[in-house]
Amino acid sequence: MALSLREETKANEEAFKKTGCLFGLETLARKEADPGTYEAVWHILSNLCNAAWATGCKVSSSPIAAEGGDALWGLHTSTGEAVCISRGISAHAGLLSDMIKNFIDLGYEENPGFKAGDIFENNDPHYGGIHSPDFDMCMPLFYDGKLIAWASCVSHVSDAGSVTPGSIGFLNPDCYSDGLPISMERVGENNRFYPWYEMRIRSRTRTPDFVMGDARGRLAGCLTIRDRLEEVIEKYGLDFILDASKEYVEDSRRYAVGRVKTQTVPGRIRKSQFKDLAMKGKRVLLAKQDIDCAFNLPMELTINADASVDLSLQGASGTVPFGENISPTALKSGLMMGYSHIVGFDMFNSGPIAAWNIEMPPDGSWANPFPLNYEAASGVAWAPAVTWVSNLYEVFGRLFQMRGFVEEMAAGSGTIMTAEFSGINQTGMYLTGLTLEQASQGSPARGYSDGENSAWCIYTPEADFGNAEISELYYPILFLGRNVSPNSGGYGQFRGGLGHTAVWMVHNTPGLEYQCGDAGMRSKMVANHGMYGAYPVVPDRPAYGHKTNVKELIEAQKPLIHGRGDPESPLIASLIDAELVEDNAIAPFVTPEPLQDFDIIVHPIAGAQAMGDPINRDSASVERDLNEGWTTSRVATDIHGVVTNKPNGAFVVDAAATDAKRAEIREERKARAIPFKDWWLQEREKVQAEENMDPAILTMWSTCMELSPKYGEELRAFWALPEDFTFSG
Amino acid sequence: MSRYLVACDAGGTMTDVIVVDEEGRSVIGKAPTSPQDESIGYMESFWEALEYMGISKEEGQNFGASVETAIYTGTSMLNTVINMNGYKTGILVTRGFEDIISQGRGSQTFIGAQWSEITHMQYRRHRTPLVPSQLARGVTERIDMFGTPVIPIYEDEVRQGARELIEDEKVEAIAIIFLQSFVNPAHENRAAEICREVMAELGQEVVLEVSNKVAPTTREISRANATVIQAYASDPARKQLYRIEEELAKTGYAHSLKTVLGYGGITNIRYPRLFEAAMSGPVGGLMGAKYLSSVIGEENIVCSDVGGTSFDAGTITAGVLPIDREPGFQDMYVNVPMLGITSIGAGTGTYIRVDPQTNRIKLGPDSAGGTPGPTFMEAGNTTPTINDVNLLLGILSETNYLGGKVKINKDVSYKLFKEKVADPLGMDVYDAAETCLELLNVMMREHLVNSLMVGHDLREYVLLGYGGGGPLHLLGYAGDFPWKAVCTVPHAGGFSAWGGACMDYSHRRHKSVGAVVTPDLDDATKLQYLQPVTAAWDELEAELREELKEEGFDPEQVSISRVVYMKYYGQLDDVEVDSPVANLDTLEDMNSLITTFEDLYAKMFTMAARPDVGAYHITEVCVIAKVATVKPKLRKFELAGKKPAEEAYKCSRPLYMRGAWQDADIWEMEKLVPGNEIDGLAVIEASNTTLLVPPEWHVRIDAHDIYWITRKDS
Repeated sequence: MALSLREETKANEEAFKKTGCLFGLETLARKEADPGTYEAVWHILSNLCNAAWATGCKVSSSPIAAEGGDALWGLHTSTGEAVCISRGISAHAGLLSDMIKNFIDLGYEENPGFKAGDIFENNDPHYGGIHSPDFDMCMPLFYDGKLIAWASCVSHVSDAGSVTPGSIGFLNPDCYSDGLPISMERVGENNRFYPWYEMRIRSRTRTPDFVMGDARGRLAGCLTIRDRLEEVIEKYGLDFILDASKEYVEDSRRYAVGRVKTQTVPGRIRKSQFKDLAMKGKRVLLAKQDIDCAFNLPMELTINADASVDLSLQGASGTVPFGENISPTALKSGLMMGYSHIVGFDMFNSGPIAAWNIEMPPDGSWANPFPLNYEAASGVAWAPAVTWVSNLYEVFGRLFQMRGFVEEMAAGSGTIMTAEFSGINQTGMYLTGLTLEQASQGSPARGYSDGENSAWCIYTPEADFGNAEISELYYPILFLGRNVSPNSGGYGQFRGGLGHTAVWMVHNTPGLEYQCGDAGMRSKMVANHGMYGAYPVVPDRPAYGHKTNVKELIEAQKPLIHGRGDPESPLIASLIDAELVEDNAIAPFVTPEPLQDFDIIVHPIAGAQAMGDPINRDSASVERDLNEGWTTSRVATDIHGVVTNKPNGAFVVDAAATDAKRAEIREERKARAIPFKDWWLQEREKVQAEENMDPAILTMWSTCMELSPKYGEELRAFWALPEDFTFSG
Repeated sequence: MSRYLVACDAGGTMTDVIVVDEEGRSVIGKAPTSPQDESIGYMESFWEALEYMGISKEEGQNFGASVETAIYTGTSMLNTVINMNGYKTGILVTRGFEDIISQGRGSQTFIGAQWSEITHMQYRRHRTPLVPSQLARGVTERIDMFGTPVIPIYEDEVRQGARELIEDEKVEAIAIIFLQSFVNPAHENRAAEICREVMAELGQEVVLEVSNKVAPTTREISRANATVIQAYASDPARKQLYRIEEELAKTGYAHSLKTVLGYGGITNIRYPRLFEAAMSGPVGGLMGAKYLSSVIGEENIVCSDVGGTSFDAGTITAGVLPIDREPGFQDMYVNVPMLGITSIGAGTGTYIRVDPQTNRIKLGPDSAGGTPGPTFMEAGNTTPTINDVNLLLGILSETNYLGGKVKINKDVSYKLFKEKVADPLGMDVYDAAETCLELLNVMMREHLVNSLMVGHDLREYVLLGYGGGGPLHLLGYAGDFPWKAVCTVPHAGGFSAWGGACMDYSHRRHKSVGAVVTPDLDDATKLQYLQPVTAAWDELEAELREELKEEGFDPEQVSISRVVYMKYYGQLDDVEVDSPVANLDTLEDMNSLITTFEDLYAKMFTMAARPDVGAYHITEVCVIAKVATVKPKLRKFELAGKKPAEEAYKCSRPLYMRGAWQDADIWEMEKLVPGNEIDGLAVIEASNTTLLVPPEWHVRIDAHDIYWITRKDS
């Protein structure tokens, strides 16, 4: 008698435990017997997912899915493992896989049962979703009456009906404000949505036409996968497809293990990062949100002698009364993306992460909230979590460096601050949605070169900000600038790729809500620190002016604002008069009242992190950056120790003065250096006295020590603190 | 005296020149492409073609006098961009966008990359900008999406910027790019006037290009790239074309050289927007196929071109070739209309490797190209290629590569393929070779069927294979899909050059409009919102008529088509709709256009229901102006008997196929004639291509000398 899917899943798990190979596949029989067909079918299945992406995006109708490509389709084994995925937002591949496994685990096979043409969806973080605007879909695929695979899709809709318009619900105080939930539901049969599905979307979202367009796009893509898979099975035989599908997953696991074995070293490596969320005194929804928060994101990675990888995320701090909490399933999916991009990029599927043993964040932490705090909001769940993905880049960068694979090193990401608009656009339509600015940041410094400007996004490989003229079609804005932001890629021997600054003038609207959102931004803390002596990227500092004199400036043909200026001295206040000017606003925030025509928004997008000592930077690179306007004389001299002249309008390095300046910097460093032990003693006193510790920091430390006792013990041990020491937060 | 048409296709590796007489008889010459001076490759290939006509170089010194039209298709513009040896160019750009060229956009760092490359951040690279930010000057101005000037142009900034670029930076060209200039060009045009004034004041002339003239379509980054390429590369590339024209003139050629535009038309090399010729490489084949389709009465054709480095494919549906309006070119997106051609890195020179870590076969995407050649050409390259596989399997002859001109060594090929591919896979050499060949065929098949043909019914399409490697792989990638028919042509290796001779004299202009009609609008408002469409049509038609008049054409010769690009509001892709009406003045006009769009949409995306948003978005309009030209005749022959002449039979040769050696009949293509039929297993060899006919296939040569290949059991 055939096993149920739940029994099959269990058998797979046991086989993996027993053999160390997924599905118990100690040999890849199909690959060995027929390597050509094995490769050919892989190519066909991958292409099939891409055909789904092309079809689905064409049918989708929201700017985010359609213009931004914020969608993904996948093909899975009958038990849910991702075999291959389309292009698009690969961060969701693991999550889609876990959703299918969850449907199986919850007994849907028995009730309501799985049959051809069924459409299942989830967007509920309590059951593995990431946040409500990401609608996850799956459809069981049958052949000769047997469930043989699943098609899946996720697309990001412009509005899911949360308490604030749009899709970046960082202000959501609790899960009840997160928007329309689809909680592990069958939303259609016979390849059609149920009537209630569309009715619910129409009554509970602000842009229902777009949301339904995206639903149709998801469905069209899944049906493409179904139809094409049937053709592939007819050609190559069901047995081959079923066997090879499993082998691709196991093969991918082996590839990742092979990369770890040949390009890293065994041992334990740690990386800590922190993120803050300064909301005290800002426009919030509930009184409990009038606070600042801080997140602890520790990571410990151990490479074992057999190249298996242990990853511990213990030490995460407690939940926050905002939308930044994330379910472990979604978190794992993001980490899977990072790991696949860094280590297992040959075949993107469930394989690479299977070689991990993950110790998830503790129950009740912001990254595993629901066991203790069922009300936690997840409106923008990945905001702190992407920092862990960035950590993976840095951790592996160090490991690759140890084995000499310098070309594989990357310094980690910067910060991610979003811009979301809602209001009547220039054609008179109500529109809410995320701009694409944050999807094109600088890429991290590499072990041998600078990162690339405006060319990377940690949460999707399809990094791109599109064209300003297309954005103006959707949003009531005029671009006054979108240039490279100088000094936005940290400072190092190799700098991170630079970000850019969008400058918008509100235009042709009765009112526009600007939400400067959190998708991984920093309020006051720095993100990461760069690697090997580099200096970090500056925190996000947008600016805006409300009720401005820009109209008058235009009429008088006076200078306007087109960039942010040097981070040390933002330009807006010196150029624009307004009833309300924030020249150095602390993200995230929603403007106090709707903006109006001629109001100004200055929205900087971060670059990525740098690598190496900034005084080792090639002076010719500093000269080029100066001439391109990508750095400033102050930074060139004070940070890189590069002295320049400007004999004929262009910067030219003075080599002798540069050598002298760098020698001077080295001497200054020596003069202020103290032995580590002395520093440790000084800091220990401050820690014990909770000196200069903001309440948000104290809460962060106290919750992480409470939720992760072992982490707390290590923390006390490091600082030689009493066994009963706790912070007062 | 006979009159001739000479067309050239200068590829990355080889330059083909085809000479066609009035009867449609043609000969093809081949020579290595010479990027430093393309006239060298052109003329060498020309002389070789004449040799096939029995005319020696000495005898042909005045042959050009009998040439009616000479056409160039190729890489002159591409080489200027690759070698970065164009004009020193500065830009005047909307203030705040000075980095528009150097910053580019993220997606330009992975144009054409494979997914595994896209996901691995380390591979990302911006190209070296054609204009560094140092050579950019900002101008305060803004026009909104409706064309309303919101911030007037600050003229002093234009004047100062132009002066700095010309006087201080010594630029040779200036490109002007302002946002939304395609809706209202007033600011750009005024800036151009000021630049001319500055040039006059300084007594210096530089090339001046404005984006609303070069490419008046939305997406400022791609428009900027187009304008910069036009400023940077057009004149330098034109100099190459003048060199070819000079050399042809020495042979008595008395006319101007023509070149091929990326959207499939020919024009004089003095054509102002020469950047539209930048991507004309693969165009010849498609236009040849289009002409072929009109002669043989097949409206739907899938065109497939197998070269040494890439597999290019495009479709002709109902006689119409789709246009890609924002193709990738040298790691830049460019607003230039180009025939919709998609490519993958798969050709006869594609490298074969076995990944040492996973033991997986990796084909390409890189290839040997022409220098150094694949292993069997003994040029020092030690990585096996698809050509090695074809040689090892007996499909290619050791003695017939490029008509026997290139010496090849099967032993070297065997040794290296065994060591680098077969042994790591633990396979017999010939089984491994066949496996690699089939994998390549699958990649090509997938590219055709599951990428290019999504939404189309294969049963309605004829699959046409050409390019040097086309006939070799055609039946492999045709597979068992239900094509209406499969065919190829003799001289498939020169088909793209022949196609260059088949084009009309044609210009097209695009303009973005951004007209949105929502259901809540009243009828009068809807018509009002559509007026920019008619206005743009009228404007573009007037421009094109003027251009063609200046090029010496009688207005009566010019035929005009009006097109819109339309989508449901918010969707990613629009659809090209041939307008059934000349204007949108009445509700009937509007409804007629909407009905045409909806019918077309439903045909293209049958899998998905139409959205019921009810809002329509016309993104762009286009006008096409054509002047019909004399095409090479597709000769029609008397049909001979089915059995080929005895002298056409060369020999029998063993081929390794489906795990066994089988004897194949080897035929000489040049000696086969219309009416002949051949059963597989066979190989039909010509000097510039080889047609492989597997056992289950049958070849019939029709009266036009087209090879129709059908399954024996069909």
